[in-house]
Amino acid sequence: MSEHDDDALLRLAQSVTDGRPVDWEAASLSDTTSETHLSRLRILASIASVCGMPPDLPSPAEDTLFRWGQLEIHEKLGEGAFGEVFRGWDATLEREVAVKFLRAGAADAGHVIQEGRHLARIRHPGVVTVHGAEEHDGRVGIWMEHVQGRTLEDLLQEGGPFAPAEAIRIGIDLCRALAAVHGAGLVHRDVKTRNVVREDTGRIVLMDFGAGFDARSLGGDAQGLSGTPIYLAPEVLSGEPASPRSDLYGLGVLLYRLVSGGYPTVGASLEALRQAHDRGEVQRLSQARADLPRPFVGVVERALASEPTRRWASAEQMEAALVAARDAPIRAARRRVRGAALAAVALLAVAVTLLAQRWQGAPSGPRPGRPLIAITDVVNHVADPELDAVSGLLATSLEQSQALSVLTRSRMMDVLARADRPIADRIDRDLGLEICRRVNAAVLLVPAVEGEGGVYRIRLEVLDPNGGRRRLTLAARAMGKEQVPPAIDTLSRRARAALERDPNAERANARPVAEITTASLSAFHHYDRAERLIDRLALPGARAELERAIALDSSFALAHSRLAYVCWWLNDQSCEREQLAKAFALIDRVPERERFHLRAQGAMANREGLEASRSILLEMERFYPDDKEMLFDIGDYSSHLNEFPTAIQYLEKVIAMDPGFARALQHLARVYRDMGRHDRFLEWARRYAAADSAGDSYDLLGNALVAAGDATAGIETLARGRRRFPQRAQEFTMFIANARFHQGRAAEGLREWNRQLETTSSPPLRSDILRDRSAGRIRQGAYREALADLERAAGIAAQIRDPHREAIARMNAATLHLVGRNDSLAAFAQIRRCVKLESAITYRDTYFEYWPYWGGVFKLRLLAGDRAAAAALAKQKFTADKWYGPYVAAYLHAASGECAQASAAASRVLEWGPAAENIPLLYFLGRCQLERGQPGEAVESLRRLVALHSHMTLGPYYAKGLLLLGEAHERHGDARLAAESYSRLVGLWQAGDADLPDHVEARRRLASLEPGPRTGAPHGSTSGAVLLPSNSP
Amino acid sequence: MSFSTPTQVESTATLLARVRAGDRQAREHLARRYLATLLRWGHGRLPGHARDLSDTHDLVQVTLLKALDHVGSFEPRREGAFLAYLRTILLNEVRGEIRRVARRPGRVPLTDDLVEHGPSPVEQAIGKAALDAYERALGRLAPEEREGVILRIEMGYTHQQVAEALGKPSADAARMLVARAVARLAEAMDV
Repeated sequence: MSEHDDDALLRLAQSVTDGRPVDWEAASLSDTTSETHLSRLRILASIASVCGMPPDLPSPAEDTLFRWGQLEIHEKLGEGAFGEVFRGWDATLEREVAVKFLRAGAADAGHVIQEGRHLARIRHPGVVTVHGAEEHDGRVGIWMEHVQGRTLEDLLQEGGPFAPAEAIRIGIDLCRALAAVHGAGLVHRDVKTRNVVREDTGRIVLMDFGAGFDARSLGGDAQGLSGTPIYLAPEVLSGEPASPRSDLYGLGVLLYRLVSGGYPTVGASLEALRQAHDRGEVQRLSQARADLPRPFVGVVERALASEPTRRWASAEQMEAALVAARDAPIRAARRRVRGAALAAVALLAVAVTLLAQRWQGAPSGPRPGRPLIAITDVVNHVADPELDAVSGLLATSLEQSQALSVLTRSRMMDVLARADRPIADRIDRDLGLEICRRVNAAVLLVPAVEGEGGVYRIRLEVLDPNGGRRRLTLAARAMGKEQVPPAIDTLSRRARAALERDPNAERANARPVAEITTASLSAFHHYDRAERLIDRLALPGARAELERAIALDSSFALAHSRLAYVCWWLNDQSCEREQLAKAFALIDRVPERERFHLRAQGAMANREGLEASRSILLEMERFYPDDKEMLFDIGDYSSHLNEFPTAIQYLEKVIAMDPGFARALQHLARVYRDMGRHDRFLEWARRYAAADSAGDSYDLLGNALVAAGDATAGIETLARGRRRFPQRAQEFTMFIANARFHQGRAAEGLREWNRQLETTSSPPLRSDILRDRSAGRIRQGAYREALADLERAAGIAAQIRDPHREAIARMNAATLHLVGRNDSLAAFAQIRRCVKLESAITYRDTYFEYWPYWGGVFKLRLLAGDRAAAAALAKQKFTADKWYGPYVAAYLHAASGECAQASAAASRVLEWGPAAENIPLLYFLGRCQLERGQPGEAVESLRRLVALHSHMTLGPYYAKGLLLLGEAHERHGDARLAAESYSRLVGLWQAGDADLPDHVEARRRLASLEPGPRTGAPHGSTSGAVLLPSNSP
Repeated sequence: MSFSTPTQVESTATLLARVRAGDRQAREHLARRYLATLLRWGHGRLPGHARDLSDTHDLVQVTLLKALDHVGSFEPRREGAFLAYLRTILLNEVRGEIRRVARRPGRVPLTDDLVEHGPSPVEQAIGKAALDAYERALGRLAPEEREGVILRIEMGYTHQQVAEALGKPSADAARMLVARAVARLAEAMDV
């Protein structure tokens, strides 16, 4: 533990022994004391409490200046803008406090008290705890925790600028503190180095809430500007009310100051400061200090954006970016690499170069011959916001062209995000040009609309991104809003004529935009807003907007289709079904691009399977290669189909476009997990956890840490996840138990499951827990107990008529019988029972169709020596182009002694396949090679098997592999390595069944390898009887 | 004879020496001195609602006097050590009591688990596993620390009283000792 941890623990222990009440929740959140220590301290506190230990605090042996309410006021600590601060003593609760008294007449007392009560709602270790606000004897005071330490300003003066790593840590803590403040509906208004204290334990505390009043209620009086001007956001200086975003601006200034000692914008007076802001006189952080890591600089600069909407939208967002900056490998400012795919340093990416290398040659720009065009938001000179629809309508119309590639608004946002630029609410000409340059777009279209009295003139400028030169201007007139869509059709036609390179291109797909969207501008307006909300994953809002659009025009097919998509995300199956039906009924009116999505979603809803859906999307890729949703879906489906190379390829594409896309990060982490690539698994699990705090980010990260060798950190993460998400307790328990086994602490692992079993009454869950526990026992070599657990699991499943669960349990048991105990009779008895279950299933897409089931039967038949039956099963069940085709081929070759062919068939899947599948495959391969007298090859295969060992994928094949590896080493002439293998197995199984055939065999072989007494004479001796060493074969 | 309330005119060590020399008054005096503390302690650490077990008061008193009778074999250097010693005797005595109760004829044979008599209030609050872990970790502390914890946490001595019982120079010194000991417990407990 670090020094700080020791201090924190001691501090808490002191509180317990003094008898001071401890806020266990806050202590738990502050992360400096481990959960284990905390829980033990609580136990000790309980003992004290039950034994009736009275509090005994160090008495403040000092003079009281005066009493105020229940407090004894002792010493003046200082003065602030609002009043004076004193140190006080609360005799009732026996604790030291700080009291801020407001100057008489400074503000409305009732108001201050109310705000103080609001502040008291915030309980967070990073925010000074306010105990209360009251009025006594005519004085209004707010009393709070007495925080002792040094302000950041003090530390800066004493020690000079901070190291970036430390500034990042402080920034993260302050983001969390601000998140708590904003979450309570408040704004701090005075974030600065003098208002942040670092306690001796390292705790960072945001102080001086004198200025922290409700943003709404105080309104913002330019004269009564509160806060320190140099930290104030420009809009606040100009008189606008403070907001969470202006707090974040202040935090940006604070971080800037910490690392550089200076300020971004300065002025000798308030007026000078305002002017400096107006003129944009900002010293960039990279100029103030050159050696700062790029990601950190990016975070600070975004916080300092003068336009509030360009800043971080929330403290949580800024925190996530700082976390990512913290975890990024340390790099000094790098030269930017030009070029389409390597256009910019991703804001959240860890290893952009790595991605670029993998992704070389994959175009992020248009296909050759298909110019990429971008469209800005319409410049709307008309007072009616519905005319904003012009851009969206134009884009939809142009997307119909198969000779052009239109950059969607969502992709434009991704480009901006990747370029460290703040998210914009509006894409104007300048931003549009910049975006075009980054992605090598051919043209930028800038629409504008003006007019009055219902007569509109729509203009379209076609600009060359290099230089912004205008190539062409088109115009069309619309008499009234109903004529706007036809006017757009006209413009679209003319634009296509100018831009499509092939003059003979089919003018198919030139349908009126009102037909493929809606004739109602207001309906389109709602749809447009919905799309922007979808992009931000604000789905309930998107749903509402789409419903409004549909209410205005029930034949708006595109809106129905998108609503089906949103409802699928929201897991509202009835809505999804209803909207899909409506969209399909109107499918002619769905624009081409969306139609692909609709069909793919429809295929899934019809249970046609992942492959059917994916092939629709692959078809779509030919026409719309950069559609992010499509690319993600392909990656997603591929990962579920275990086609890992494809999954990786597509998921990486998506992440390159949108590095913060949490689901893509999650899927990529899972893929590497299933492949057994632990280093990559950890890398992506970290990135996912940085991007999202969903439940499974805890188990992914926890398991990744365990797999990478840091079981302690992994288990702590998993335990945190289990506490935060009690509804997933069973899963977390399984992970923790597995990790314990991995650590060699099998008893603790079993305890976890036992605890779960004791506290779970739901039969399906109990069945699953028993199955999980059996896996733990298998790892230990306690096969009898494992089988007992599996039998119980199957029994419970049978009782509740759950054939899937029963089948899985019985298949596991069958494998264990045969692989583990050489008992083919028992194994096939279990399989026969599974076969009976098969007939009870009536719908498709069941466990029995899947490789895990019938593939298991297939392997067992091979292992039992019945190649013919196995081959017949394979023939019946699979078609050649399935991903497990190579597995079947390899197994069949291996079983026939054709080791070389088996190896060839297996080579690709051994590279990319799931670890759980590769372990049995390598076993069969190794066995083939050994039997064919190729011990060297066998050693290679089996070494690979053993290296796939992961805490999540151990089964009986692994143990057999270890034994076989020993044998292979022996045949290859290496007794020492053989002994190592055998003793590893014996070690793994020391708590297991001693009479397992493989256990007995391993011990026997190990003993035979031990050197015995040397009694024999060297060969060639002429003496009489020669005593041979006792261990000769 | 009247006995003054425990204003430590004579130190425990002195009194113990006199008890060993056969001074019955000293014995009574010591008993008075510690009875209140041990009773209070007993309410938390001893099983409640015992039927055949003598109630807490009698148990403590009897045990205390017995301990004082056999004090010849014990050489406490300070009050803290003596109290820790008494506490151990009391806890053992309770376990013995229970076993005796359990072995009475006519009863269903019991294991050592307190089936009839229920756990003490502390055990009820934190559970047997935690309590055992606490006792184990407590046993591994240095004697002074162990006594400090017992005196403060279990017997509710003020820090000043702990200082006197352990021969520490000040209440703050005792405060530091006990806090450190508690932190060490938090590190060492295996639960």
